[in-house]
Amino acid sequence: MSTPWAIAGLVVKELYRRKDFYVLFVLTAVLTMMLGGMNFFGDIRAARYLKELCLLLIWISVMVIAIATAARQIPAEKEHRTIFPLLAKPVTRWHVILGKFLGCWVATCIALLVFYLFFGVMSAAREKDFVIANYAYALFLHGAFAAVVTSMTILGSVTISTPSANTTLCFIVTGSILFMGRHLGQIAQKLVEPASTLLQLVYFSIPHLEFFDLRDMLVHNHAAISFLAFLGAMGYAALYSAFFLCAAWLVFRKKPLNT
Amino acid sequence: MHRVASFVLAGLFASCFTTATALAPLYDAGDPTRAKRVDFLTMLLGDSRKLFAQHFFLKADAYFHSGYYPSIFDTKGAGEASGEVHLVAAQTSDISASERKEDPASPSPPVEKSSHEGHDHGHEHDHDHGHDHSHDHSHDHGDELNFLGQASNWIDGFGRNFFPSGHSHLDGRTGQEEILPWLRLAAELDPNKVEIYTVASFWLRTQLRKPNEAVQFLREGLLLNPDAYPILCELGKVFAENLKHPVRARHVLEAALSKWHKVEGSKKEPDLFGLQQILTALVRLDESENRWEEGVKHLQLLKGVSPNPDKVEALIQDFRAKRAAKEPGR
Repeated sequence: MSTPWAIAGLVVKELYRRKDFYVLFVLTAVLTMMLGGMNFFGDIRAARYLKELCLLLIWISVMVIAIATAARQIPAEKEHRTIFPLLAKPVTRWHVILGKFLGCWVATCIALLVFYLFFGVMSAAREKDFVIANYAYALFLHGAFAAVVTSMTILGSVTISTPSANTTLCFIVTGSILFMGRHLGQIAQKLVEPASTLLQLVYFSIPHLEFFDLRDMLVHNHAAISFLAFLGAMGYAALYSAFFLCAAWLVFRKKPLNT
Repeated sequence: MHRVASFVLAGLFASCFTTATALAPLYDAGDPTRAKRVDFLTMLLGDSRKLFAQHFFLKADAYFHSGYYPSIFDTKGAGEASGEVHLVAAQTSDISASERKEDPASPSPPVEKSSHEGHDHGHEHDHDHGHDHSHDHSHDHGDELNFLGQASNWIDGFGRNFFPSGHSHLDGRTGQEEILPWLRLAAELDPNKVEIYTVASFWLRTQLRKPNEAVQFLREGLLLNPDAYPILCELGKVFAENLKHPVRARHVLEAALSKWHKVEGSKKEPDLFGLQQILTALVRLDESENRWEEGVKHLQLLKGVSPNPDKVEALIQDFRAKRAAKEPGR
């Protein structure tokens, strides 16, 4: 198990060196602070609009970090031909897939932690109601979201020819699931056959990323979600991440590396 | 050679710049529409900003319901999805239960539920969202707010754990400021949407106790929509009910009445609800100042448009009796 972690460590170090995270964090912080300075009808108590916009920026930033980091890992190794010395060591292709996933996921989670710290401080400064349990759940579920998206992108990176195409596709798929995933079942019921059955199949097959989105609960200070629901969502994320990683390994296992 | 080319290039650039500065005023003068100054959002979004304005207006309503709000896919909540908002219902039911509670002797001119239906709010509100409605609660709005319905499968059911899936409202005077940023933004994007000004003013004056800010916002709206009688009516209410300035209130409400006749008078289907609102406010003012004679005149006008003319007639008799008591010689 130490081999994947060694590969993961390299990926995390790469994220430190790249400027993606710093730029996104500064952008989020600056935009949030600019919005926080706005005055609506002389009332400075309004906080929910700020929380909503800050969380939106955090979600976009985390999506960008997760997808952009994961999409370039294996193609870059192939392009720079560093995949050959890597696999010449006692490292299997499964180790590479798992290590790259762990590295991207841990790096995204570190970024996530920084973002949520900023969000927590900003929320605490603006309002008294602070459902800490929901903040913790939101952070963990967001991490679970990052795991599913990262593993899906790793699968894309071994199946789709170019990193840019993979990145674009992953953004579209993730955005569409977040926006429409919950409603696909309803839409399917209104369609005629065979479109209805096909859409139902899609509905039951896709990873429902909206399970990990607690933004509305945080923004409107709703009571904490049930622990069982939280555990269920974490298990759901673990299953889908495992599925995508296994699929990536199955594809990568027999893939020629010199193409 | 190189130096000559540089001089020629600089000379050409200077000529271009000079020509542009000379021609621009002439061009603007020739086309009067260009002379209009447009703000950054208008320039960036054009007319599409009105779509965003509607989105933000609905966002304010979603905040009022603490995030429990139908999406475009939730057909059971078609009322909200089609742009009918509870914030507006609360504002138009201004003269209802809670005020009657405050003053049981008030004649409460009969602008009632049926007239709300006439105002095209496809849903019935048998309670008031204003004034004393200041607690966080869940209550029955009928099928309209049960837009989620029964969970159709396990994904649907499980997913409801992660977003607000129960109806509640913002909790009282400490929470309702949350809708203001969205209303302000909606007004910035569509300054001609009169509803935004009246709704924002209603919440500012009744819930947040900020009548001066309400007046300022209504004045901004009036500058951009000079014929908007609902804005004048709302302004009159602020003066009458919150700032206790009956003279200004009367002037503004009479201006609203005159604007109503100007705008709606010639229409086949005029906005009778708007007229009822104006007349009701005037009758209230008449009553508070013991101006029974004028009150009777306004009530007679109201009788012609009210869905409950019998109740209005009873009020007319009441006002006449009070006038007679005041002037026993007549």
